[in-house]
Amino acid sequence: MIPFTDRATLNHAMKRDCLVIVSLPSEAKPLIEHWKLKPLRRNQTEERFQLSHNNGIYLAISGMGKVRSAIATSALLASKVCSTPNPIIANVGIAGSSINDLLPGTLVYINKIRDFASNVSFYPDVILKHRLPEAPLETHDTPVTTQLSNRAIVDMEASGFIQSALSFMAPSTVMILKVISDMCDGTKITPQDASTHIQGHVETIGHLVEGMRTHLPEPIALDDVDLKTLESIVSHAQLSTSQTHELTRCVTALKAQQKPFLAPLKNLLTKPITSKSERNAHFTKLLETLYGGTIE
Amino acid sequence: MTTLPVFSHLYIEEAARSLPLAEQIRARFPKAVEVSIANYKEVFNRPRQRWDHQRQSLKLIIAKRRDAFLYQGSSFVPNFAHDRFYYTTPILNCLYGCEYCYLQGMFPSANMVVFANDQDFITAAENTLTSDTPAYLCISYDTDLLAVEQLFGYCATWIAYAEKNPHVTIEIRTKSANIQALKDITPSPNVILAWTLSPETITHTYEHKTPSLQARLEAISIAQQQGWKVRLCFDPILRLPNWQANYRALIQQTFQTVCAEQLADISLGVFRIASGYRKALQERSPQSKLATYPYKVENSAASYTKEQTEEMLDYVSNELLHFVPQEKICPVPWQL
Repeated sequence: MIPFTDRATLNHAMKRDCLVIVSLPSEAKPLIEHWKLKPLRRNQTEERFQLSHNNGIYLAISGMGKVRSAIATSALLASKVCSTPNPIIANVGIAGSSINDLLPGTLVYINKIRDFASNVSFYPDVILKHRLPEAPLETHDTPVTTQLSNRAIVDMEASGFIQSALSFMAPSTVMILKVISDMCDGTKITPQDASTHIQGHVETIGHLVEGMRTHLPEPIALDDVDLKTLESIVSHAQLSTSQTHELTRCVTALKAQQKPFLAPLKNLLTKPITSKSERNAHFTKLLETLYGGTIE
Repeated sequence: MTTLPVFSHLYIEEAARSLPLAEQIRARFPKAVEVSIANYKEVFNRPRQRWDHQRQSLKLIIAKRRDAFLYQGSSFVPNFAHDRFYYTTPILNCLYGCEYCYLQGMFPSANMVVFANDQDFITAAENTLTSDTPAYLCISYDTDLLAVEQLFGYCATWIAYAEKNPHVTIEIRTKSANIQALKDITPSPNVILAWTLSPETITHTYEHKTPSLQARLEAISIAQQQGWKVRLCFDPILRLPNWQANYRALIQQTFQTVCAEQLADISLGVFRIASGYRKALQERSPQSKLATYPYKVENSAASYTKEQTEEMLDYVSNELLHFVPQEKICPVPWQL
């Protein structure tokens, strides 16, 4: 089996898919309307979540709380629902604020997430330019109705979301956006309030998502033909695990450099392999053929 | 949509926040977003970081080094006949983006870490490098200190240390042309400014964001005029198309600007890298021809073959002999 992490070449032309995790239907509604998302047929993997899709954007409604958020994020990332192998992922929702100058209605870009219960922190990379205020966020297990001593945004999902997302993805492909709904003062937030808060920022959220989809260099997988050829070589030559890794790195590099590699690989498929020493000699020959003339 | 500028964010360890150097850095970046962290490793050592994404907008992590202030020198680098050979890493990572650099294989992040407890490094050096035996200390291996001297002032700190400790020879290795940063500092006889030079075609194609060859040469010339000891490092020598002609041109261009008589010495070494770092380099930069060149791998190191190494070192040495005597040429005593 070809290791997933080795299946990467740089390709700036491709647009990544985007997974968006929200906790409540009322938060999802304005986004679904903005992106014109249609419900996706449920299968066994996604049956716990409402999943909508259009034009490379997949939105899941996880339910409230960090555990549900983590489950939805993991399930979605593991299900490979996306058509591109390395999507970006965003968590969007409402949050409370204990920062005096971040008032209700403000959209905030989150740069640090601390899980209040475990005191573990997570950091997404902020690479692309934006005009939003940035702030740290604390995820609590229950609603926060009194002002905190820490200056932070407060929610109930983000730590679960990011812990799961960072188990699969690069920190630069993870984004958390929160609209302030209250000042942690016990104000009751209705579903209509939540929708209104998100609705006020759908254009900006859409713009940021598109920016990440487009501007971060996309690692693409070796395609099915490449992988099939590679696997037949590995199987034919009975390559060891380390040889398989080395060969995969080599083929990935040649693909990234737009050098031919399929034809030389196929040429070597015809030779029979009967012993370990033959295998090793075959492997050396394979690399020489592929690398030959790489630079000189 | 564009990327955020370099050091748009300062990740600051709580333990480092009140250190004078940390305050000085924060004052240099008043518009930067500050993010509090408990330990620099929370940010720097995260898994699955994308080096190519981070290079588009480097962040600065301000930390406090708690241990390992000095390391023993590696066999990959020359000790210039010093038995006591150490290096120190007051900063991790580099502003420049050389495609062949081992840092891409060594560190999980492209972001830069600066340790703000500079005086703790000096104390460690004073305690370890006692005056009974000469010592050799390289302070700019895992970074380029001169390139960021205006921001962090680490060169000045170590030069002041060198003045008080004449038994310690300090090497500051750089590709920078930022000699202006040292204009108010008196040259110290036991401080060597060591410039890495590569043919213009390599500088242009593979040493991203570095000053041009001519800019480096002019900086060297100024350093010599000011009285600094200067070492030239033709290291790594890369076996690229027309490498002989390119290195001959490099050497000729070098000595049109640099005074050969005033040079302390010249270090020569072919490209070499720990094989583990090379794997990481290859995975991070599959598009890089340098990263994926079929180097010979032996004893956990990747480099050119013995014959290639000898051919390259002989060729460059012979070209140098037109300008400097043999005793000034120091090939790195390393090969597979």
